Amino acid sequence: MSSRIIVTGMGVVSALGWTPTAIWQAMEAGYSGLGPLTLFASPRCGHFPVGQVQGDPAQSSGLSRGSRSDHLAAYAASMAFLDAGLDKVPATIRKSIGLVLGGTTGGMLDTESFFLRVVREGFVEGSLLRHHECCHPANATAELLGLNGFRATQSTACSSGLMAIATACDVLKAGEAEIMLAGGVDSLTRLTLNGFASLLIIAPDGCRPFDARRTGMSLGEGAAVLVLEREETALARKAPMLAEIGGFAHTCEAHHPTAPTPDGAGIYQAMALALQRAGLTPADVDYVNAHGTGTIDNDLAEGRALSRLFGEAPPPISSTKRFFGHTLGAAGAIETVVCILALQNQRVPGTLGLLHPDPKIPIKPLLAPVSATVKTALNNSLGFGGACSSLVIGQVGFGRNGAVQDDRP
Amino acid sequence: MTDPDRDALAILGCGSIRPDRNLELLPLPAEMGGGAVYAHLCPQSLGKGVIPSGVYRKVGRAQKMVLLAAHKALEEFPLSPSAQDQSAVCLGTGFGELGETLLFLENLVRLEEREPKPTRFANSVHNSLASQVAINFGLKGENHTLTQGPISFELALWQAAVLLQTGRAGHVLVCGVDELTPFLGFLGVECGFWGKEDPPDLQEIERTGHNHRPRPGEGAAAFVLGLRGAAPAKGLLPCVHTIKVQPLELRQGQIIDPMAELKFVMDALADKGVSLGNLDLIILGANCSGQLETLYQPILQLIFQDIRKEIGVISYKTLWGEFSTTPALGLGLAVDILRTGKIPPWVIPEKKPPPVLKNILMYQVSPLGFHSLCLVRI
Repeated sequence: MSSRIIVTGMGVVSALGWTPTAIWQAMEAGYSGLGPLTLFASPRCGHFPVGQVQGDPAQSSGLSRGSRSDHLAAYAASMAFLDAGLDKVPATIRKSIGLVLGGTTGGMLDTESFFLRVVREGFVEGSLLRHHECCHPANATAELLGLNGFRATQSTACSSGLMAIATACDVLKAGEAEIMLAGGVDSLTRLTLNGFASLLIIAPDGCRPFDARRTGMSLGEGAAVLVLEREETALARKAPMLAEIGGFAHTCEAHHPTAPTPDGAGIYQAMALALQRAGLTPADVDYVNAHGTGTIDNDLAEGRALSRLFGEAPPPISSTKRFFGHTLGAAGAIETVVCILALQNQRVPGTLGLLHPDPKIPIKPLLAPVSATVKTALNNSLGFGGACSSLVIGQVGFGRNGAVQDDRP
Repeated sequence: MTDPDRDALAILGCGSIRPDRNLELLPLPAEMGGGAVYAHLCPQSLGKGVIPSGVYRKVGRAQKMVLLAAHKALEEFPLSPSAQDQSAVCLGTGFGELGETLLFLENLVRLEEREPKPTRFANSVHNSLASQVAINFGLKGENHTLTQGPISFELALWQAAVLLQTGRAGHVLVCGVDELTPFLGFLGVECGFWGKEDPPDLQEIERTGHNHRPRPGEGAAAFVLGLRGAAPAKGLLPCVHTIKVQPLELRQGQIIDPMAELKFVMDALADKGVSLGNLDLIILGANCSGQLETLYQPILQLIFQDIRKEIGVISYKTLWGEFSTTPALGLGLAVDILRTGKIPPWVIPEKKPPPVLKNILMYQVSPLGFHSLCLVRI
């Protein structure tokens, strides 16, 4: 049994658009998805620009009801499902397809509405709580698409999306499914907007990753879902082969509930381990999609770790957070889609919002998009609790001449 | 010859924070209609003197529960500093640190977003539980938080098996934790999981040791796991030999097929060369609700037809209540039973246990659309 995991479909919805093509075109044109918050009123945080999905996902998801996160996830998963041609597979195979989603807030937006109605109107609308659980987007999506295979939700803060992709790869390698959908989702909520504001890490004028004048992050929302399958399954059903998952690693810094270690020890270790598992060296990496949130501490720590790993010859590095906002549980999955688009287009996105690179950060991220040979990309996600994840993704067959390792003994 | 059980998960350390088996009244929020539910609750002052005071002040109730459970498990099997670097945490939870999340949310709603507390926000993410464990015990390996309703803990156990069997961790601390808040009590009433102010039949509980109605509960358990092949002691070491976690093939309105469930159980056991006749005890996720009873009874009947011997059946939810990760307490009970060879006197199984207890089946099927099992052996 091959240990190679192939990406055969992808779907995405974000502030920048509703398809991979749309977001790529917007990125090439230098558009930012950040804009005014209109989804809900926020007395204290309404002035912060956010990456809000334009249009109503409930109109396009195929779900008759559900939270905003349910709709976002179901839409992205349906697009990925069609992209991979899974609508044409026999019902028996379709039932065995599994789903792992990453997410942090589930139906929190509805739960907030519930509490607001209770406090302001004294009205108890229990139905608003039906979608509260973090796992609800996975359940709603699986039910919509008729997926009866392995199902799980990873909730590891801002690294949830990458962790979900990694768990789905584990399921495939363990032989518990032949095809998996995996990705992440989060909607904007009052809880997260006020929460990050209470930590004083939201930028009033939008995030500027790695910039000397950066003042924090910008929140966003969205979902991205990939279809993953073992190589032989994809070949047998003549599926489109978009990219190959090379390796993944996750570490916990065990340092602080919200802050990274100053030297980025955890993300350095995750990147090094992910490359080792992919049978690659740092010199083989053609592009890094950094976590790059725009907060003082994150960018400095991640920059130091990147500098330590790549030394004097770093590959093109960029953060794409100002395009989408930080979509929390969806970020790792959306940025994996960006990496696949970079592989397909042989172009590397720039770091929108970066005007004056911070001299204290020992890397030089790209300011604007460039053409480049991109066979492999490294995608980083960091989260609260010291979560550090790194994923290697490459063109299909990128490791054929190298020593791609199966991490099963 | 290679030990066929070398890939089994040895339970090297175990700690449980069990709620009181006696029911207490939990008042529900007045604004949501008030009233109360009878519930199994953990003590209010958890972990004082064990959890460092600086941490104690900043963490929520669920975090305290899991820190205390982890403390007990790691007391049984301490990890050296070098082992800590290679040790992962896999945690299952249904609702995360719900108490802190709701306090943050209530504050936003009532005070029009003035004075939000940053510590509460940091605690509100589901993985604040697993990361607090990692921070407090220096565990720097992979850190997973899995949340999927009633199978959250089993998924954490499954993920731990992957990490150990692929060499991605030397040891894994597997945890399950959920706290009961008044909000959750209300939510359970709304969803019809339990009734308001539904008084317990104390005589029945006294006689059987168990609840005979679904009651909400809370608690935490933690287990230090390593591969059996690498475990220092191989004698009386309870091991998890197989874990299966799957959604049920159900469409709206369909009921669970007992024959399909029997096949699910038999196939999983057969993978490990075990037949139903080898089982000595079954620990179930039944909670005595009419809905669940009608699921479990026909499945048990089919199992007993095949076993052709008297074995005990224990329902952990009738001891400690209904919450997403009660199965973690069930596994803790299985460990206690296998280590001592006895069923504790306060657990009264419906049938007499055999003189030797070696193979315990943990099994649950949920109308929420999942089933899971694991085989625990010594």
